Amino acid sequence: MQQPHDNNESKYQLKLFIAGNEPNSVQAVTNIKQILDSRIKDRYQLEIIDILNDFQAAMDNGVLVTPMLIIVEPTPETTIVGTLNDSEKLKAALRLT
Amino acid sequence: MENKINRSPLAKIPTHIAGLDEILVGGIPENRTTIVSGGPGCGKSIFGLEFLYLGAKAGHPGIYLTFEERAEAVRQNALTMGWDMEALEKQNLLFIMEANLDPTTLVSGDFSIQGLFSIIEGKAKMMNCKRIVVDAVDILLRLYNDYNRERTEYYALHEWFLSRKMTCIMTVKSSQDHGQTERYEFLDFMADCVIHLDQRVREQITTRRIRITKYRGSNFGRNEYPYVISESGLSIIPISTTGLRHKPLGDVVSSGNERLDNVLGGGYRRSSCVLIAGITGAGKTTLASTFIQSANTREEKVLFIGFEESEEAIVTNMLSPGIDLRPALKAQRLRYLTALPEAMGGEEHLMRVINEIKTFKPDHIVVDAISACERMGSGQTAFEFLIRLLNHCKEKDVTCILLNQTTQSMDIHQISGMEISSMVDTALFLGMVEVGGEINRMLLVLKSRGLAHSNQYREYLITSNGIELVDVYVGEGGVLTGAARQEQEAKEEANRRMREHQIMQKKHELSHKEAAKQAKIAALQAEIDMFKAELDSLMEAENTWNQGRTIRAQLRGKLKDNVLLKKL
Repeated sequence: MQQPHDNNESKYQLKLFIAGNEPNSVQAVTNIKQILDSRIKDRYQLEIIDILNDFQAAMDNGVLVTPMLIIVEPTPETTIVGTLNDSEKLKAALRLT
Repeated sequence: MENKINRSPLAKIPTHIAGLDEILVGGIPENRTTIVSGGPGCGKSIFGLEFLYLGAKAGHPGIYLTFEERAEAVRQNALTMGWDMEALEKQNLLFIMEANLDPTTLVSGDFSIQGLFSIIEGKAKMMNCKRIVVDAVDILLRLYNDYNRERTEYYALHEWFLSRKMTCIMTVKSSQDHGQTERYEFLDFMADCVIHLDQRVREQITTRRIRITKYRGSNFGRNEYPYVISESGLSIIPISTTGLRHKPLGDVVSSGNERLDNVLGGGYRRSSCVLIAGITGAGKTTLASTFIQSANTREEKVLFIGFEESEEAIVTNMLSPGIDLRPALKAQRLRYLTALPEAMGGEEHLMRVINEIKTFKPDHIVVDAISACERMGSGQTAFEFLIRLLNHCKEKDVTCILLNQTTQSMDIHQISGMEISSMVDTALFLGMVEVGGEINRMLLVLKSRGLAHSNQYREYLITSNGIELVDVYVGEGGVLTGAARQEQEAKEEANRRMREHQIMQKKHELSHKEAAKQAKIAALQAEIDMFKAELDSLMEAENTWNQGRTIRAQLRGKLKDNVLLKKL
């Protein structure tokens, strides 16, 4: 579990907004899980919200496009939209270099 | 069956935006998308907001989706127009949704605007809402950074609204300066109704134009129409859709001057257009004020639209020809609306006047002077201002007294430099003529529709008792005025006296002759009488003699006498 560049103390809190099983939503779920599990397994909390069932959540979080990942912690809050196919970009946003 | 489908008219929703429904022949298409395009500051957002606001007030809930502004800013802007959005939001009749994406948002891979749809759907269901305004969605779609993808999503939006049977107004930026017209051209093909707003600056004055470029399945006004954004929202004044609903001329009202009434064939006609033209100082304002004063005595209201003088100046100036307008002002039957023509564009001027007509409800208006209207921008602007004003007044049964300052004395053809002559029902020309070294004022009625009017020049004076028309002098060589007129009149008088004298003389002669005849008759009669008398006396004598002879014969014996006579 020892990762030299990681901050071991950090807790990761993420929200992923998806639209049912839309292809790019499905892809985003796969992509984020892969990165998180390979790098910070057991240290993250990922909440997957289907806006087709919960429009209020979409409204409260300003989710205009899907899929949308909000990194609540570590702060500052960061938003990434898309299938999250760019793992380098995603790692940078998660501060996992 | 097919016939039935063809006949069913396109369902429309009235926007209730002043004048817009007229050119849209009813409103925007129901359950369809209408595109409102235009450059910055032309009022696209206000257009959408007003549609929702007026709809919500009538009980139709609406969603305003803004990608550019904060909801608070939208509420504030609406409040400047007097629209209380918050009150409607509390009643669940309106929802202002801020759809701002954090500008620091990262993009990684493909995405869709499903989130937007989901939010709209959820909210619309909650509010039972069928109307939506999507303001500046391009901001969101630019996130794609791909023109083709952006285009696809526009179609997706359009399809989505269509499938949900929502009436949508989508605002789209267009600006020739930024070369974006081409970029969003496809939207014009996509939407069922396309409205273009345009703002241009001409002669330093901003004018706004609205044009319907497309309306699938419906007729619409195809011209460019001026519109204004006033304190109460958007207002469009279509010129060609009005104008054909004029009512006939009303009854006759006095011009305030009895003699002028006679010349006009009775006076002015109510709800007609009266044009008073003349050079400066000819007495146009005096003539109009004479009318105002008489309107006041009839308890009628007059709105005076002044472009040249202030209220105080006019009221004070009119005191010298003995016209006191203060009682009318005090009775609230006279109101002045003065402004410099340059102060604003023609549309703003028009809206100001129309609003004033709406609140003050005058029976008559006076425009002093239409020649100044050109300073609102151009001759075209002035023309549009006047035509629309006249149309409005005709529809509202308001009499229009237009004053026009002509530049050259006695040039009749300049009377309505702007081609409004056909709109004018009564035309008065006030001129000055120079005769024998002095200037005299002349009045001519060029036209008095529906009334038998005098077509003679009349001299008039501006006295301390107002305007005074002098008796018409009809002589050889046209109308004479002033001293020349007096001279001519004196000559005429001399001639008349001469003729009178001759007649008297002849009359005398005749009576003399008559008397002589009588005298002669009397003399002859006397002679006859004398002869008669002489004859009578002779006859008497003869009778007496004959009687005497008979008596004598009886005395001498008749026989003896007879023998004696035979012998003789």
